[in-house]
Amino acid sequence: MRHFKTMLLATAGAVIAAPMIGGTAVAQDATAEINKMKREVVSKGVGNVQLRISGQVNRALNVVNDGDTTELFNVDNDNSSSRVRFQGRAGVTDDLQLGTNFEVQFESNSTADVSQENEQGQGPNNFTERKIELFVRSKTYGRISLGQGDTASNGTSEQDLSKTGVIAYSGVSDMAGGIEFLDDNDNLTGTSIGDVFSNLDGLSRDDRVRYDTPTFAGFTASTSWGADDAFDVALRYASEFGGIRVAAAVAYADGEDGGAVTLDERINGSASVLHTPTGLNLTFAAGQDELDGADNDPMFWYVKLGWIANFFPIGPTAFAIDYGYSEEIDAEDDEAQTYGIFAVQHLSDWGAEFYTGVRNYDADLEATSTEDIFVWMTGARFKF
Amino acid sequence: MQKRFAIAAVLVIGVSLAACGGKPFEAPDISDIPDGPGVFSGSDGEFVISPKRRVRRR
Repeated sequence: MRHFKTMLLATAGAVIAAPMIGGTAVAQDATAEINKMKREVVSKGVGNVQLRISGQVNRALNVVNDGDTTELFNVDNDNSSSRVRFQGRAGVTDDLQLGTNFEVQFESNSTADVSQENEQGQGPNNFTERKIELFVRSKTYGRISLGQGDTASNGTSEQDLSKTGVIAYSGVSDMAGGIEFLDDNDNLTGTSIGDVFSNLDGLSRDDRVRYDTPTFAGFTASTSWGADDAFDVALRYASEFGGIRVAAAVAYADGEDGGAVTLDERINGSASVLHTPTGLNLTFAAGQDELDGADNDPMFWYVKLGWIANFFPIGPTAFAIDYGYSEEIDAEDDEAQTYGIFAVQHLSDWGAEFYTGVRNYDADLEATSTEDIFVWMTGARFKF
Repeated sequence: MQKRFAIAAVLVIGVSLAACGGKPFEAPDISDIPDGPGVFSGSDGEFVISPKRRVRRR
């Protein structure tokens, strides 16, 4: 295992170092060729009508120790899945814009799906929906959106200025959500990391109607309405004061009606502060649910301390340590906690990030005692 | 009680921040595709397709 870890580290180091050492000439040739291709197939003509195409591939290797065995998983990082995006924009007037968002993900072996019993071939082997919406945006009156997309409260637990979100954020289970805890006899409990941790991030994405106000003094208010009378309201804030950046959000959500167990109310929020001269940053998130038809009262809180350094001209290097606590996410009296340390090297001009980090998951289940799970993730995200 | 406290806290913090002024910026959505350049799309970070501008002939 030690030899294997060394090999992994050496591979990651070589991948990170290659562009810095000998790739200049190749990179220049490639850039010239790409520019030629762009001139041939893409025209930038009428400025107020555009179709923008972009996407990302986010892949990683996860080394997981579940208390009994250590295994390697080749995964799509569910912190921010591989995906493609088509955005249509048409400026009707200086004030009014029409737009569409069509964004789908394609996850092969998502960290949310792979487990000790299902190490490969996991996923629908197809595109799955993220955003399929149209909107009308006015600088004066705000924006109204219709279709599958972010509800007003989605993302309100995820305000984070640490530049380490690709591997560590309040959604702590995304790093290895499908892995199951073992009991003291090394038997699978059937309870996975994703079962006991949650950042209670509003109403996620859904088919909804959403309205966002224009931004005033850094504040933006939003509300959305979805199926079965689910609705939410959110308030976001982002502003900079002389070298200190603050991003914060808070939301209230009323879940769907019907079903045996339903979300009655959810209150959640997060805040992140970055001191830009030093790169030091602090992030906090918390939330609480009230459920109908169940005895458990889910809650969580999360804190992260980070540092963004500029060691290399290629882009910032971000470090972070974090701690998360969740309670009664799956069942009454369950508790779970996690902590980790992470590093992300950004290649700013290339839209690429290389990352590595370790996280420990500890669950205290009411039904049985469990082994800790240790995860070491190393990977990269390329935006294209 | 808990909800009232949360709402009051949000209002107090919000009003305090608004009073401080500051320069608004767009906070990153960490679950989204990041802003900025792309590996293949260059500095734009996206491929942009637009209708070609028509040149009128006299």
